[in-house]
Amino acid sequence: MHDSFTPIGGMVPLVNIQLGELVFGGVGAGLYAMLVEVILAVFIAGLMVGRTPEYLGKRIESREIRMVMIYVLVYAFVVLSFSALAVATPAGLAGLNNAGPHGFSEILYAFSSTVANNGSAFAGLTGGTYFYNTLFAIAMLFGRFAMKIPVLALAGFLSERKTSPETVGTFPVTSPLFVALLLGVILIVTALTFFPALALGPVVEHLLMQAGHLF
Amino acid sequence: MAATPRPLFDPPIVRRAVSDSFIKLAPRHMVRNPVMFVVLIGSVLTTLVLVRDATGGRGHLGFTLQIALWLWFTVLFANFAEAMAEGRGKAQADALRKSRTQAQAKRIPAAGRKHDVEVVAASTLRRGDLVLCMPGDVIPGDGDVIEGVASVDESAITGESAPVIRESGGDRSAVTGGTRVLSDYLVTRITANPGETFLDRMIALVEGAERQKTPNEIALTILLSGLTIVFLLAVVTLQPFATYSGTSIGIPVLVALLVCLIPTTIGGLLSAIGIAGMDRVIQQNVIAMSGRSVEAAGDVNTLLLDKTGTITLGNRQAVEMVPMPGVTPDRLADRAQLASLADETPEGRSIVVLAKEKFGLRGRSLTDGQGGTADASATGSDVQFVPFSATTRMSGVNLAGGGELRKGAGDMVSRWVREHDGVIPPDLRSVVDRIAREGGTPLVVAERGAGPACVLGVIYLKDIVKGGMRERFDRLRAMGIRTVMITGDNPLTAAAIAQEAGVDDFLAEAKPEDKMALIRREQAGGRLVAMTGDGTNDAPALAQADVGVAMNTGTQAAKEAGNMIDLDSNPTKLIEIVEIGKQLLMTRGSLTTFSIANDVAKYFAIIPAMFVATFPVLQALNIMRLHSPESAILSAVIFNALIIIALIPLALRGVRYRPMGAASILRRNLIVYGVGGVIVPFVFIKLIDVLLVAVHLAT
Repeated sequence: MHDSFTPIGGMVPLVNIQLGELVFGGVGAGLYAMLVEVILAVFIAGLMVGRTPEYLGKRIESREIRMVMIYVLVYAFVVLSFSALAVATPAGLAGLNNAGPHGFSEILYAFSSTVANNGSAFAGLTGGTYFYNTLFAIAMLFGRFAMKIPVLALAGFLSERKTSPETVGTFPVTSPLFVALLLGVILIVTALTFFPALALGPVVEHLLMQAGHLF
Repeated sequence: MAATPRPLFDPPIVRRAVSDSFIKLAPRHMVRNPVMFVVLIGSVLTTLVLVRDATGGRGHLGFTLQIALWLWFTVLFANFAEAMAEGRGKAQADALRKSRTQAQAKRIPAAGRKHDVEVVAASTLRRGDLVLCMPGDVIPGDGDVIEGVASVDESAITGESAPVIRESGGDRSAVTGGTRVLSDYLVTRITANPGETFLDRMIALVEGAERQKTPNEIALTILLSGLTIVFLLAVVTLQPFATYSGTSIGIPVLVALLVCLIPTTIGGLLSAIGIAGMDRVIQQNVIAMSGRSVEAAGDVNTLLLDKTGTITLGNRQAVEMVPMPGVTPDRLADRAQLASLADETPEGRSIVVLAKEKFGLRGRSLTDGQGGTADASATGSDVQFVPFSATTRMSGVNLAGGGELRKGAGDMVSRWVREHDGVIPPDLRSVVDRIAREGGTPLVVAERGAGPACVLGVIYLKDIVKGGMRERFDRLRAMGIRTVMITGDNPLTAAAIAQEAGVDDFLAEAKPEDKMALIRREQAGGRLVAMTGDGTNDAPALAQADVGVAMNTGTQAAKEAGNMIDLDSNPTKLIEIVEIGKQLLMTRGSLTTFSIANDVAKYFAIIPAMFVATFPVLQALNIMRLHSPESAILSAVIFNALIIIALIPLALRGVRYRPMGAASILRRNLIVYGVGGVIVPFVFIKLIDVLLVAVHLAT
C-alpha cells in the first residue's frame, strides 16, 4: 500500500520541483529559475526574428548561454546520476520500503527535492543512512551553490552589457505569444529531460494501479 | 563573377558533395560539431554491437542492422548538407580562379624604368613590387596605381562590363588582381602578397577553408552541446533505472533514443546555414572579410547613407528658372543656356535641356554661330569658357564682345556683381532661401555687358531622389532600423531631401569627423551602425562602424578599413546585406526551434517502446498507435535522418524573409516552425511506421 501520495498526486510536486521550482512557493530560487528559462526561451526563439537575441535590451551571447547551460546541466546531472547510483547499489535499495515503480519514485523525489527544494522525501524512503545522508548533503551543496553561482555570473554578465534601445525589431517579451513560447520551452527543454524517469516511476505506477496492482 | 542563379541541386555539385560526405567522417572534422560527433560515436557503437551479435549469432540482427544504417545515414546526411553548401561556394571560387591561372606579370625595378621589364609569374610577386600593365594585360595582383591613367575592365570581378578609369593618386588608385587593362598603361605597386589578395580571401571564404564560427554560431553550439549532454544524462541513467525495473535495454535502442533526442536537425544543418549565408552575400557581389560582419549586419540598428549617389542620383538637374524683376523669363533662359553651353557637367547640360524644353530655345553650340536671341557677339571661337573652380565657385563664359556671363553659388556671384559695380536685387535673397529650403541648389546667373553687372535670376537645381528609396526606407523602418542621411548640404536643403526620401534623420554639413562622432554616439547608446564609404577620409568611420562596406572603386585605405567590399560599388547594397544577415539568423532560429519541438513526438514513440515488454500498461503512452516497439524505434530514427535531407533546401536558401516587425515575424515563425515542429513528426513517424510494416522491414 502507499506510504505517501497516490502516483499522480506524488508526480505533481515532483514535476513542480523538477521544473526548477518556478511555480508558486518557489521563493527566490523560483524567480531565478524562471529568469533562466526566460533567457533560454529568448535565445532559442529570439533568433527567429533575425537579430542576435536580446532580453531587456541586453544581448544574449555565448557567455550568457554557457551560464544558463551550466544551471540546466547541474540539476539534471545531480538528480539523474544520484538516483541512478541509488537504484544500482544495495545501500541505496536498502532504504526502500516499497518495491517497483513507487520505490523508484521515492528515490527520484528525494534527490529532486534535495537539489531544488527543502530536502523532503516520500514517507516510504528511509533516508537516515550514511549512504543517503552523504548523497543528500552533496546534492544540496550542488543544488545551492553550483546553481546560484552561474546565475549570479549571468546577472553580472548582463549588467556589464550596454542596453540596446527597444525598436519594432526587438524581440517582444510581454505578449501572450511569449508566454506560450516560454511554457513550451519549460516543458520541452526542462520537463522532457525527466520524462523517461517519470515514465518508469509515477506514470507506470498510476497505470498499474488502475489495473489493480499496488506496490 | 556575376550573380548567376544556380539550381539548388546542381548535378556536379551533388556528386562532389556525396563523396565529400564520406571524407568528412574523419573524427578530426566531426569533433568541430559536438552534436554530430555524438551521433558518429553512437553509429560506431551500434555497428560494434551488430558485429558482436552477428558473430555470436544473437539478437535481432535485422533490427540492429537497420538502426546502424540509419544512424550512419544521419551523420552522412549532415555532412552532405555541409558539403552541398561548400560545393556551391567552391563552384563560385573555381570560376574566380580561372581569371588567375597562368597570369604573368611585367615586373619593373623602379617607377621611371618602364623598359627594364622582367616577365615573371604573377604568383611570385611580393608586396612592394612594381609591375607595368599594358593594354590587354591582366593586372597580376591587388595594388595601388602609382603612375598612369587607364581604362580597366573589371568585369571578371564585378560582372559590370563598362570599363572603369584607374589613375594614380586620388580616390581611384586601387586596382584588383584579375582585372584587365584596356587602354593606356599603369604602373602598379603590389599591396598584397600571394594568397592574401581580395580574390584569395573571397575564394577562401566561399570554400569554407578559413571559416571560423561566428559569435552567434558559438553561442548556439554551446546551447546545442548543453542539450546534448542533458539528453546523454537522461539516456545513460535510463539503463540503471531499467535494471531496477527488472528489464534491460539494448545498446542500439539506447543510442537510437539518444540520437533522436539530441538536436541533430539543427546540429547537422548549422554549418550549411552559415556557409549558404556567406554564399548569398557573395552572390550579391560583396566580399565579406568574415562571417561575423554578415551576422552583425542582421543586428544593425542605424544605417548611415551618403546622400549623393545613394539616396539621390549623383547629378542635380535644373527644374526651374526664376527671373529677377525687370528680366523676362526668355532672357534669363537664353543667358543661362549660353552660360552653360560649354559646361559639360550634368548640371550644366540639364540647364541647356531645360531652356530648350521650356522656352523653346534649341540647343546650340558655341561654334555654330548665333541662335535664338543670342547676343550677336557670341559667335565663333572668340568665346572663352570660364570653368568652375573650388575657389571661385562659379563658371561661365566671356563673350567676344566683352560681355561676361557667370553662374554659381549665390554669395560668390553676388560678390562678383558688386565688384563690377552692380546692385543686388532685394528679391534675390528670398528666392535663394526658398530654393534651399525646398532641398534644391540655387544657381545665380549674372551678366556684365559694357555697364555694371546685374543679376538675371536664379536656376533651381534639384537633387533627384532615386526611385523606390522611400519604399526601401519604409521596409527598413518596419524592421526597426533607422536611416540617417549624411550630406555636405546646409541643414535646410538636407531637411527637405530627407523628407522627400523618407529617411528618419539627417546629418547636414557633415565633415568626416562629424560622421565619426555620430557613429560613436549611436554606439554609446547601444546601437549597431552600418555605413558605406569609398574615400580615404571615410576610412576611420568605416573602421569604427560595426558594418563598414567599402566600395570597390574606393581607395585601398577605405577597403582595408571596412569589413566588406562591394564589388559593384553600389551604396544601396547595404540594405540587401542587412536583409541577408537577418535571414541567416532567422534560418538558424527557425531550425533550432523546429529541432527541439520535434522531441515531443520522438519521446512518445520511443519511451513506450522501450518498456512496454516489462510494463504492458505503458502501451497507453503509445498515442500514435505504432505497430510494435521495433517499428516505433525505427520510425523515429528514420524520421530523424530524413528530416535533415528534407530541410537542406531550406538551410541553403534561408527561410523566407519578410520586412515586418519582430512581433509579427515571431508569431509567423513560431506557428510554422514551433507548432509545426511539434505536429510534423507525429504525422511522419506514424506514416513511416505504417510503411515499414507494409514492406515487412519491421514486425
